[in-house]
Amino acid sequence: MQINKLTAHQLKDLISKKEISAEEAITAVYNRIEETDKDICAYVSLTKEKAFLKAKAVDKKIKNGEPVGNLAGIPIAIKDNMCIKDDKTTCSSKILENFVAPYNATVIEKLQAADAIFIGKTNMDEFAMGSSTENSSVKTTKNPCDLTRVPGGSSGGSAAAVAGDEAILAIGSDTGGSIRQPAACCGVVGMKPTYGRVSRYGLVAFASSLDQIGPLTKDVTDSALLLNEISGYDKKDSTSINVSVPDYTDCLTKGVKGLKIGIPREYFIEGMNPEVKSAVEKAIKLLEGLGAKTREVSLPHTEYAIAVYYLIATAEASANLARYDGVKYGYRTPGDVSLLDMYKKTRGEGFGAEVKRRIMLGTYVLSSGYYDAYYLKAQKVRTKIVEDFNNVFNQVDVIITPTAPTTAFKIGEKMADPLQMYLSDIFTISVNLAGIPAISIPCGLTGEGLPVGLQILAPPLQEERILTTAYSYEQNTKK
Amino acid sequence: MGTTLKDINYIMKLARLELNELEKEKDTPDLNHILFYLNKAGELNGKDVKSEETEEIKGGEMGITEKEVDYIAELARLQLNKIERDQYTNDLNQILSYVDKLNELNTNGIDPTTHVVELTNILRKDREEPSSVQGKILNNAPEIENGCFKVKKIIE
Repeated sequence: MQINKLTAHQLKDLISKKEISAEEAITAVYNRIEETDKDICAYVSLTKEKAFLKAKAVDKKIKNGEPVGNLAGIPIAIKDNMCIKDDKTTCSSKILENFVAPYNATVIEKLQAADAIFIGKTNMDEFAMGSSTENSSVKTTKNPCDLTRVPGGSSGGSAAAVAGDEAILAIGSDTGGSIRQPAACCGVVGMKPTYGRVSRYGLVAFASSLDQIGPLTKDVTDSALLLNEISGYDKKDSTSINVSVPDYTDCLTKGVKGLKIGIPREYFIEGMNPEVKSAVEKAIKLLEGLGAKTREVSLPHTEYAIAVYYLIATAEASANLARYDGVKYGYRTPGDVSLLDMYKKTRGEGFGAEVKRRIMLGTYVLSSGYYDAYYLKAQKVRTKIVEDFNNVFNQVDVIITPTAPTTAFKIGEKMADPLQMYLSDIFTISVNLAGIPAISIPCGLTGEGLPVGLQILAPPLQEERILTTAYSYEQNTKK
Repeated sequence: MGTTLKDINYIMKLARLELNELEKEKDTPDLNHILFYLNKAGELNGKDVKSEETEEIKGGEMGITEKEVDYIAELARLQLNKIERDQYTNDLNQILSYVDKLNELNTNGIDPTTHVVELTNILRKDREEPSSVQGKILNNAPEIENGCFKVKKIIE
């Protein structure tokens, strides 16, 4: 048995039966990392020493028959924009290359309490800005399905770690598709929960009204298991929702009989990969065969989503990234210059090209005279996008779309054209603007053997509908 | 032509970024490309999309004028925090007058969405709590002295 290939629920079962120890589990994962990560480059840092200490402690508890957490001994990878106390948190940026987190993010506290074991931090597009993980200042992560291709982004390291069996579970963050699009590219399950379902405390902010933490896993059951642990109200995040958390594994086997599925016509566009289109259509047929009722619906403002997103996200980012000034933490330019010059030089040298581009754009759209024309207008159109979803969810229970218009693209292919890169997120962005939950699950391979992602969307706090639908599809496509 | 190299210099000042010549040249067409696309957002709000109006947004009115660049550049040379305050005041004035102008075009009265969940002020009890991380926080700073962040002398 290859332990590192197991799902979390399989491993959990074997650990609880004392057939595998936590130490064996993390040893298997670290061996796999040793063997493959020089090619995949999913991790930016490993915390082996702490992981073995924790594993030994968990094993001791199990041996003594003491109660353990729900993820006892499960190796988990964390995107490098979440703070783990006393570990580096770099956001794959030069400006934070030496930042050591003084406290734990709330998700980290929760996962620690669940006795999960942190393997290391995963690579990402710098400050989560990108769709390919090529914007990392550290290295470019490769897609485990094809090393010449990107893993998607920005949580590309987390998706690649799971797809490459270098972690059992992973955590990512999703501002415009950064969990779902890499999940689709790498052939794993990626869930963006409802905005406010998971505390953002200790997540380095990119666009605060859009950012949300979520699981990247090998299957839907694991997604539910991990969501159980990380969800919930947190007094340290004033935007977290104070609504009790159900057991997300309870809904899995409910079935889709009678479920009303909406298929938005705007998500089947000209220029999308025909193999992606046919894979998604095949998946819809399968769900119909299981008793779901499908109908065409319309989300008429879809075509404005990217425009709205790149105004709002960059505006929020320009504000959030103002804190990197070479004073409190991170990089400071060497040399004896005035304070103002120190700020400018520090930021100019510390941020990468895409981050600077977005700070420029965000500063511009928030600047005098342009705020109304761009930023406020974007917020108004955001209202139209939210209304689109409200209207459609009055008619259907879930919406199904492709996760991305194409499969994983070649490394370097879109780096020269920022807009082409932004368009990779065309099907995922509206979900963040509306704050609703969505999942990406694998729905087959193209002729080239590249994974296709199926996206399932639901109204706020209806993650269970998503999980039920995803699980039904997954179980009925198992070989 | 929407954004010029002068605009880039202006935005650089606002964003406190320093770009080299190569980056400036690269970002100018990039920003134009993106802004052109973003103008799609302007097609909503019940406004008829006439090509000349779109042109106007792209080129004339929305372009950053030289006068503005000089004005902001002038301001940017002054002490930062005070400038910032001045600039925000000034920005607000300009924004408000601009809102009036846009209102002639915007007839739909759509409410902007700033946040998808209802936000309320959450207050905690005003009581002392131990804080043990001060040392760890300071250890991240490039330069500290006597428990404070240290920077170059600001006021001569």
